[in-house]
Amino acid sequence: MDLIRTDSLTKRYGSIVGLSGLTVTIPTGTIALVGPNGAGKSTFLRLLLGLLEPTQGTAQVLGQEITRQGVALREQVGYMPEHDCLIPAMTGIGFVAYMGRLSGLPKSQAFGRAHDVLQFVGLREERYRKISEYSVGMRQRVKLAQAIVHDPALTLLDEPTAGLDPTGRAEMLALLKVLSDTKDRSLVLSTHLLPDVEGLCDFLVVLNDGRLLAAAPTKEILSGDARELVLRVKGDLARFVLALGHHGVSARPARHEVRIDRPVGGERVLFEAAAEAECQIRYLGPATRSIEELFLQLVPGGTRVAPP
Amino acid sequence: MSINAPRYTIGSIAREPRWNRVRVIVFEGLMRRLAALNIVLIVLGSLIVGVEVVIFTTPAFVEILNAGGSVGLSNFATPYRSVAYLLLATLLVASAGAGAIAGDVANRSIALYLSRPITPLDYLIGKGTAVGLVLAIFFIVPGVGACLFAYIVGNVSIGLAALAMGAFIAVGLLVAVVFTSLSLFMSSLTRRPIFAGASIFGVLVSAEVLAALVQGVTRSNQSLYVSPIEDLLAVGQATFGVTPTINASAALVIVLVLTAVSLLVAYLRVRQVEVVG
Repeated sequence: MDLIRTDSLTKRYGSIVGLSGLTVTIPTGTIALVGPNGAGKSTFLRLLLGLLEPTQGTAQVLGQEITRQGVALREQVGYMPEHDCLIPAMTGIGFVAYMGRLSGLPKSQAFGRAHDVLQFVGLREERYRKISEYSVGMRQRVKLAQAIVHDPALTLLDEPTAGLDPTGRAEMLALLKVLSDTKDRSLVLSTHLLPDVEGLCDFLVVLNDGRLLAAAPTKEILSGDARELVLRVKGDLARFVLALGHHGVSARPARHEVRIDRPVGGERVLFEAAAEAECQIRYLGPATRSIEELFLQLVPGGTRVAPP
Repeated sequence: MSINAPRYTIGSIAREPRWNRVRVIVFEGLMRRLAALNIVLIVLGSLIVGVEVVIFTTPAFVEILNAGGSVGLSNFATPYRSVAYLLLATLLVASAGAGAIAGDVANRSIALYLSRPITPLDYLIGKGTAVGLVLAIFFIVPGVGACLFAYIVGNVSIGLAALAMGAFIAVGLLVAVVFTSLSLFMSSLTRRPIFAGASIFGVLVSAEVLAALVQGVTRSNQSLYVSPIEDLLAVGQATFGVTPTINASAALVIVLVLTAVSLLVAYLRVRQVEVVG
């Protein structure tokens, strides 16, 4: 069963287009939803939750139709919004248990799960303090805890590292890594911080201006052009590039590596050039792209994506 | 702070039915409003109970205690004979109802409520019931207590006391429902509970003042229909067998329509919240 399947999904807010004709099929696993601010990521997540009515089109999440089976769907889905959304007067444990009960958990199970997930996100004694006394990092953790308290099959995370310092961000990503490794549980991670999703996600969906730019398995989409090779050498890189030129291979040097078009007559010339330049080839493989590079290729003005 | 990250999945858990989730919202809302630290609510509630006690210890009530067979249902109508009681109650309504929706919109927790397996209607019912129960406690309990007191201490028959209790419960419920719907309506219009509270109090008092002024100028009681407080007084008086200043049936229709419209607007606003947010 596909995790998410949409057909011409569109959402307009008056004259503003939030999402435009999105048709995509997303498998189970850990999914990154990337795009600059205003790309339609949050709108997409809210549509998937059944919080917004689509202007046009349909969508199924976990096999449930979002407009007709919203309540049943939300029993299986957890949601961590981007913005602050906690009840300041409640304690961490009280709040997470309350959210568990609203998801249908019996009282004792809700409190048991609340303790489990708060422990999991790293809140121990702090769980008995009022949320109004929490730091930004602790609030993010409570938001994650409430999203997973009812053990959902799918968790939607909207900018989970927003507002965190580098340490907090690394800790949050470590938590998400554990969640993504959990069997039969899927994550959709919306972010404009591209380094957050590298190494974490199996499938990538790229949005811009409410439109789908790309949707494919991460490995596939980042594998780049099969005709391009990457070489890493031990020795004088400039001399190696020069030697490659003598053998008719056009090289594009970067800081620690060289990218070349796959030679027509085979890879033997590369080793000849290396011998000529007195270098050792330490790595030879197909070129891959980072998500950042992919994004810059796909999105006009892609530099809008914020640095980590 | 270090992270301990155990695998936590515990498999499928049997879910409770949806009505139970609404009950959870009601209980949380009740507890929050009746919490020991909610000083304003306690002071206002005590004030209202105090006023009722004073009303019932005035000569009218002393008469009930001593009059024996000549006492009728109308002798119990004292709280609904003048606007003083309901005007004072608007302060309580403003305090208890202002944050019902506006508070959740202000701290954006409404997004989390609606992301759970409940509908906007479930949410509104939960929030409204919590407010309504708090108001009902203050509108019903003192009256019912006074009836019991009159039966135990005075010469009031059990039948009359039960009838009076029924009247207090019926009118108290109506007042609680009308005021709850109005406060949900006002609370859904703003993101700030304090504005919602001021609106609830302002609208009810302004309507009353306006109705009284126009009545004074035109010498006609028709203007009193404009004020929900006057409409509720008329229904209350009629229930207790007192002839009201305005037609009670018309007043009842007006407050019921007002209630329905208020709830409808509040519902539509809750459905829009995510879009607006």
